[in-house]
Amino acid sequence: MSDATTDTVAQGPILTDELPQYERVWATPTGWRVLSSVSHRVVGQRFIVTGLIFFLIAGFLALLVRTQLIVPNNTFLDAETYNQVFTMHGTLMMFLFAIPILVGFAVYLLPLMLGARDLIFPRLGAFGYWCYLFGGIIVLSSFVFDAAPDAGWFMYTPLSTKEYTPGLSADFWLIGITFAEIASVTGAVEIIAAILCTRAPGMSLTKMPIFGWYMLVTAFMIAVGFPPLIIGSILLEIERTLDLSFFDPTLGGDPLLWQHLFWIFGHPEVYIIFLPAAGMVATMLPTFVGKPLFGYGFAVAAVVTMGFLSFGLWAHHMFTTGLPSISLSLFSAASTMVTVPTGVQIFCFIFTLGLGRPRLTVPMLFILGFLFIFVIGGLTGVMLASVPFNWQAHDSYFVVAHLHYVLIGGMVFPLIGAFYYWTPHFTGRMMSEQLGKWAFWLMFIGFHVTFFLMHITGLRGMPRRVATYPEGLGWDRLNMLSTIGSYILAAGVAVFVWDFIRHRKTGPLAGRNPWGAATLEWLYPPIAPGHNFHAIPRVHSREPLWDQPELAAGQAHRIEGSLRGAPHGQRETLGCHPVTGEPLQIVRLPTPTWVPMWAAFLIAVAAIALLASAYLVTAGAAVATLIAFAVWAWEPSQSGQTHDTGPEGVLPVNLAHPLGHTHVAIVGTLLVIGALFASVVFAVLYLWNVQPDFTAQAGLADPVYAGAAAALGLVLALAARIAHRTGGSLLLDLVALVVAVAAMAALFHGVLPIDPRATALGATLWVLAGFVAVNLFVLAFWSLFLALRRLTGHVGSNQTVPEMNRAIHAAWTAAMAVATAVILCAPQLEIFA
Amino acid sequence: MANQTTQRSWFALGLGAGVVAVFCLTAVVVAWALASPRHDPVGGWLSGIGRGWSAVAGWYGGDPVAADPNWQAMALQVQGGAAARGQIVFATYGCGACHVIPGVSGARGTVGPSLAGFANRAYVGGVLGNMPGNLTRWLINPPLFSPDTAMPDLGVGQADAADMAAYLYTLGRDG
Amino acid sequence: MTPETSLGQFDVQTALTRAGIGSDLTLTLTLAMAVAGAAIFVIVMGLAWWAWRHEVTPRAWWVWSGGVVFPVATLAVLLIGSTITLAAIGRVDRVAVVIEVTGHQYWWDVIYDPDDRALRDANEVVLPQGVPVTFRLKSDDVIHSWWIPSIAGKMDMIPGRVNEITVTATRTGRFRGQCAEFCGLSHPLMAFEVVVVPPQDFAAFLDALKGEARDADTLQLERGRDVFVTAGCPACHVIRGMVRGGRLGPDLTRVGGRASLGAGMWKMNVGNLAGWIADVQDMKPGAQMPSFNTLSGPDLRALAHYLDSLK
Repeated sequence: MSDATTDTVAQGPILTDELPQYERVWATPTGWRVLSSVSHRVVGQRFIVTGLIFFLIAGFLALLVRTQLIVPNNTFLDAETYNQVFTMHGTLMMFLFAIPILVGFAVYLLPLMLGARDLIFPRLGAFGYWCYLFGGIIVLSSFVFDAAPDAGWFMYTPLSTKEYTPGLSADFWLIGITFAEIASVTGAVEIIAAILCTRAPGMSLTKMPIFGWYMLVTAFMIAVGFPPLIIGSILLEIERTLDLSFFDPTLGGDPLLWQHLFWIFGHPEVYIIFLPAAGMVATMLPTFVGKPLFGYGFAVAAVVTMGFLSFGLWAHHMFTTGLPSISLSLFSAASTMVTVPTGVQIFCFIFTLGLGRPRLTVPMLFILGFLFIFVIGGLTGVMLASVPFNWQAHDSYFVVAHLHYVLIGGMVFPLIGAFYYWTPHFTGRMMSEQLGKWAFWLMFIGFHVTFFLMHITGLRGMPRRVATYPEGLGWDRLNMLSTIGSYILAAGVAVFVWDFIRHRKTGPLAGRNPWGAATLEWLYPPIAPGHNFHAIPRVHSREPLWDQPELAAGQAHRIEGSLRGAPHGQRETLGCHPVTGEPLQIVRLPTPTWVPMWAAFLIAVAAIALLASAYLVTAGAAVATLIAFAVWAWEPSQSGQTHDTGPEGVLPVNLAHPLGHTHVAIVGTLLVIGALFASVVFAVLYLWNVQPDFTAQAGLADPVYAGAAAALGLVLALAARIAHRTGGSLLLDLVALVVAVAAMAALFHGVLPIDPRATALGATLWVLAGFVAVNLFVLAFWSLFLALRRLTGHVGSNQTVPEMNRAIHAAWTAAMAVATAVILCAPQLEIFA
Repeated sequence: MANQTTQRSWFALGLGAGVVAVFCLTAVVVAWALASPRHDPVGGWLSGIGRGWSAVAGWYGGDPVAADPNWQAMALQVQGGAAARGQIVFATYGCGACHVIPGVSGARGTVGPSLAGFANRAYVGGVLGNMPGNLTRWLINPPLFSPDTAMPDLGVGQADAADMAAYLYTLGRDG
Repeated sequence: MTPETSLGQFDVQTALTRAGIGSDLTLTLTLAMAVAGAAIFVIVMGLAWWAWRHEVTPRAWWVWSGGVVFPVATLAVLLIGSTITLAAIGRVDRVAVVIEVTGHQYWWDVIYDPDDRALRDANEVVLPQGVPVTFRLKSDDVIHSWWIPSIAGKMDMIPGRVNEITVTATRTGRFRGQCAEFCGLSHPLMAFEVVVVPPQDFAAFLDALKGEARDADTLQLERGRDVFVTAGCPACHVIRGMVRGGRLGPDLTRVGGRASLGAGMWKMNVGNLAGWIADVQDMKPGAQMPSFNTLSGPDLRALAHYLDSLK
């Protein structure tokens, strides 16, 4: 570090104590204090390891299922246990493994690929992880209480209502999973903001690595796709605990409302699972061919199309529920058409293979396995899109075969390949090529033996979710072979896990860029703990390590770039323009802190208290959580300063700008809030439409109070906007606080005449008003917080980032308040006769 | 040089044969899986081999009159009863709805006593000594021997009763 | 004479057969799609193999043709084929027989001709060969699904709504259907028998269903009938002509004549009946019927014989 050689091209000058200062500022805490780390590398690895553990538990549950089905009339598991086991297998795999582990890879890889020092909201990412872990533990703990959920991973009503599932099992699912979903939603907002706002200078959207596009689309899909499930879960939990009825037809509800809400989430969910894995394939494949991905533009267009299209397919899970013919035709056609963007991506991958002489490494083997298996899964999916075929195959083992082909082929195989590819980055050592080949072949063969025959088993009439089956119908031998195959598949997974565990001791050391990859995460030699980018380089190409020799030559920490070191003793990275990638600001990042963990822990306490019906404790924990959030955000504002970044010139710190990261994040959050609101509105309109007899009995809202709530909402939005434009004002904060509370009260009075217990529609209208009230409460709390900060001198004038964001949230809340008032008063307005 | 080419040819041949063998094996297994349970060519073939082997082994080794005969097992022989047939006959009469009968699919009932280890029992139905004739007569008409029993007269004929009795005597003592 | 049950019979519960118009047309569609799918798979894998082995410069039009034009064309054919098949399955050119089926946890309430004669039976359904039958599907508790794979596709039974599916059985014989929507603990034990008979036999069957239950004509059967009343069975079960009963459980007027017991899961015979009455909760956990293990031995036997006699 002390020899400053300047004879190679593009070596920046090195200050003598710059390196230790930088590494001190970015050091990861050691020992048990590592739990307070919010660095993306640590948080990403936490997600990955936890996800892997849930995968193994869920896989073990699958072995139990297959063992029970090895012979007809088997008594290995009784029906009750079997129902719990298959429900938890699906739940753990879909909610606690698939998405979190992919989020983990994204959290770890994105800043490295994009040229950022950390993820844009590190504490939010850490908070998300703890919510995931605690939520997952709550769900898993249900086994200990003999209350494991047993109504299937999609928990259809009325089976999952209190009448048919008494006890706590469904509540464990509803509360635990909703809690864990916080991680996915916060992850989504963070990924959107990170991809759009923290790329290296010169990395326009078209120069971004393809993985960035895949994750950007996925994050948007999560933001819009998870809310329907969250709303559905909240409605069902309210129905179970407060005896309201959204899904009870005798009170004007409809069991199909649950199915709609679930599948509006559920179908995008499977693409949310597929896309990041395909993005990893799109990253690894070119490395082993040695040429850039063919058809980058095609792939981006396909991914974006898929993101939109996937929201229009959900009713293909409901073809047998008695939908009208027009719906059947539309959803059938749309479901077949999703083949087009999927196929475009597959062809881009295949043609990339043809660009050079591909190397058959272990990751490449898993990619080939992905191609083989996923294409079969896609073809059976097209078959299922055909309505008459669906009427035979729905809810049979044919669907079980199809879903495992697309999920294991489309996600697990790329994931194992990704482990072999990126583990050297995590640990500095390579995994074993030999063991990897064994793992692949055992998994590949075991997978086909298990699941290929299930296509036939299903067409031979075996329904899903049966704890046992009679002998002699023609399913006996097929099931026995499937079970044998599952043990082979498990052996393959075991070999992989063994390799993963033992490679830390015996794996060969990975040199710098062991695979010869093109993307920036391989800039530094794999070291742990690592530091990203002592200086952030300018990027001209999608394959920086191939096209920019100054990056690959010489030592990584000597590369010329901006924000060299940590000159102010603070963690910071560059913020950029969302489209062009030109630098816009310096973003200050937090140091390790315990607050996110505490906040998540308090929410866990609230959730557990809710399960135990200790509502006082729930209320107390909720208040404590709010205080934790206040503590989290209390730090003094840093906006208003400017600093010299070096090659990119002087830039402002923490800019209050519509293209800045907090604004992008708040827009992402409003997308989530908007989707939540839209889901409740959907429920209202659906029940209104489907149960017209009950609409008249729902009761009429008080139009004066409802209108007052809308008006107060608009006043609030106005106050927040003025506060933003005038640089912040204590008076306006207090005005906003009072108006928000008044609006909540008005809303409550507006909806009071409607009896929520009388009809499902009435209950849904209360939920609608309640949702807006929650947003108003957030604004009230926010205004109080800002007022306190201003009073204690923690924020000066013209440091208006929070005011900017509050103004937008207030505007959106005002819009929702107006919409709610219109919906509440619609029967009286007689516009919708 | 020629050696290398020969080696490669053998290797290719072996690999090809291996692939073909795996293919055939897969085809056979799938065909077996899809076949009706009544058609058990593999099973029939295997038991044929088994019978042939027993015949050969018996010709060389066995002595019909063993040195130490098992008189108790012989006492439990049911005249005209085939245990293999009996195992299937239980389903016709619904015995499994009330009794656990090891080896009979779906026989899990807990209304009456489990029949596991039946050959070891001293009594039949708590009223008759456990002997082939008694057991057969019991199966034909239980209420005749135990008027308060819950076990109905199931309309079992002599042949079926003998077969079921033969199967029950395989549970316990030796097997 | 108790008919031979379809339980344990090979090939009675499979979609890979053509015993109904629905299953016939769908099987043709299935085979066509499977063949086309296999061909496409071979082509794509062949393409991947070729790309692996050769170095090429791919063109944009390759992606357009393979990824857009070809799928759109093939899928259009598939959609047209599906639409034609669906229309053909749903085409009803004669007045259909109406059978209303209500799903319960875990049995089926069957009413023939619900708008007119309302003839009630349970767990076994008789269909006329070649005549369209409209099933009116309801549910009393959770979502069930009515599936006879050998004859047609399935349709869900959803509380609060009535779904209809029209099927036409083309082959006589015994088939088996099963509930195809997870409905609780004994969902795997909720099946039903389907008997397809010539139309004149169907008419005769309906006429027989109108009548009352067979008389008890021996001492034991009379004793069984008395036990039926004193044990409280009429609270849930109807035996027409004998005693007024509740509709919470299956109609037992012709229970002995059904081939199976417990919704298609056990052979109908005296032994299974006795075991069912004595401990139904062990045979079918979660069923709404309690176990009647308080009957004396002779009473239990008599009751089982009586029910078996109701053919």
